[in-house]
Amino acid sequence: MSRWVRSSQSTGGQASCLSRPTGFQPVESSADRRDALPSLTGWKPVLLTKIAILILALTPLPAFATPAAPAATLERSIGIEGDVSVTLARGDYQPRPLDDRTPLIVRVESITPAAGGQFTYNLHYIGFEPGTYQLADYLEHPDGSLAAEIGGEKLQVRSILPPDHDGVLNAYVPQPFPWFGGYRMLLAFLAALWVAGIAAFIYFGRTRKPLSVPRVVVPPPTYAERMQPLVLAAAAGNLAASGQAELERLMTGYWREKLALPDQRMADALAHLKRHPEAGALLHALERWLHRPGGATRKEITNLLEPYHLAAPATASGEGAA
Amino acid sequence: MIEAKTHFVQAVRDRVGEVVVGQDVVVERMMIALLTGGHLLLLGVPGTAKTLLVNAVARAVDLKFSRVQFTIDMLPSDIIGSELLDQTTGKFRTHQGPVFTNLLLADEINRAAPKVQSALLEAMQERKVTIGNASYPLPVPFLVIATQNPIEQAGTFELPEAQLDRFMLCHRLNYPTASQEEEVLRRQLKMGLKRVEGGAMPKTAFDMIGGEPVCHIGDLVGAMEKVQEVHVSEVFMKHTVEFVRLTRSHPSIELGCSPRAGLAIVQAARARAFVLERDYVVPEDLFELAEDVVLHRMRLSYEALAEGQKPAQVLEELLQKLG
Repeated sequence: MSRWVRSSQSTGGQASCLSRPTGFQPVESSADRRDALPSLTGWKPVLLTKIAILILALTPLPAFATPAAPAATLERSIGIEGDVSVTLARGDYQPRPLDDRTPLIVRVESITPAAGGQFTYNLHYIGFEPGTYQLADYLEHPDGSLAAEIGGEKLQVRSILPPDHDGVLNAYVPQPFPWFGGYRMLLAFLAALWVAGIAAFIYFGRTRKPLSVPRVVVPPPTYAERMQPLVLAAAAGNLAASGQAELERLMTGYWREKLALPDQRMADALAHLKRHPEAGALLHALERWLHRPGGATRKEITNLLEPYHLAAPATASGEGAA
Repeated sequence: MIEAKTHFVQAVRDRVGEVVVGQDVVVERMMIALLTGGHLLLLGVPGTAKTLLVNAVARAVDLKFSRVQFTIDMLPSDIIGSELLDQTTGKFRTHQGPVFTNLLLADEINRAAPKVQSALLEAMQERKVTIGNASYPLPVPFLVIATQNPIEQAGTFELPEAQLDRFMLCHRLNYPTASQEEEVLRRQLKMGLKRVEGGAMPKTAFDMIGGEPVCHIGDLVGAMEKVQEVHVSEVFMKHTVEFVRLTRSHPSIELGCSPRAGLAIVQAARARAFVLERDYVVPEDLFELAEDVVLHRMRLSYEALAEGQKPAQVLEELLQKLG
């Protein structure tokens, strides 16, 4: 007595059914498990189903034998390969040579000893025409004689299409678009939304022009303008030390600007000024007044500041202070 | 005034001029340091006669002179001294270090560890040192002239701002002019050999320093008294305070000058006026001394340094606001 054990299925994609003969135990394939999945609707369940099928198809299932159970026929669809394990009494069966028109190909993949002096054959087969085939017709002894003692174990290959199918493909039946207005309306709406978004992006992202408020440019006061109140205070004799210091700084700056001295160290610029006939005389007099012990008399101060005192009010732009 | 100058300033200048070619500004700064008792930091690359200048001035004025070459393994006791156990008497006796002098040359001060720098700078500030449990006053006058190589920074300890502030002046030496360098070579060719105990070796500029001092501490003290008589006007003090305060408000300056900078400007300006035969200070003194007094006391901000600004540029910008 032999035992059928069905292992993995090499290719998938079509539903198959395996009817088990009595005494043979098939191993469930991924295709069988896929058949066993609950019927799901919607794209998500379909996607999940396909992922599950892919995982199961990539997972090799070990062949195992279970106690013999009554079965009649192994069944496969056309073109679908299958594996089957058969326990036979002899270990020297070999595939029977067939021509290229054979409706079924059976290949012996391995023969391993089994309990009770029997042998387990792992067979791989593929059917090309629908029908029921006996395993004994596809195995033979080493001497070429038929292996009739195997018995009536059968492999069945069926067609998915009905026998009266004329080969015409299914006609496409257009379905109404599920959303309002149809597909074109939806595209038009999306296009309008896109254009409006671009317009909004440009509008809100534009650089706003500053308000053209007329600015009143007030020129900074010139040295002469800044000196004027100090000169007046000095002439009146009530210029404090801080004012005198400010006056000295402004006079130095005034002459540096007037002589347009090159960019140089301040110490060098001051030495340059002191060598100048007009500026030098003024700065030396200023030093004597502000820094020398005893200072200067009122008359000397008046004489020193006279050019600035007279010129500054008439030249608000500071061009003719000296 | 004139008489005091001819006895002191011109005599020292002439004596130094016999040995050192050029470097008139450095000599002037050293005279200012001597006359005011302020300490001087000289920044210059090797070979710019820093040590020779200090030696020449010290011998010219007949000051007690010590030189310490700072190294990384020095200890504070190497500078200020220590207590030693005298085995003959079984008692501790105090060994005074080289800081007990009138003029101390601290060569390459940034090579010493911070604790040694601190020990010296404490002596500079307080003019006394503590050895064991006893404090000892330093000789008067006491002046430190330190040198630093601004280029080589490996293995050095940069002086922090608080310690740099102790130096009244920080002068940056430049290379001599071409004609001065030619004169240096000419003088070297005329030096000849120095014969010692049957041997001989070429003389150096140090051998040319005259043996007899041209003036003494008494002359220095007299000149210092004259410096104290130099008139400082209210206006000059206004300029000084304005300048110091500008360093604290400039956006490119992270750390401005302390009031000590203002004191240093006034003191140095007085001494400069004395050297230049004036009995009153003028703004020119401030402008001339600003770099030496202020530049080492201010620190630019990170942003200013990142923009490529130099401290001297910022200082000049401040001075432009003053005149």
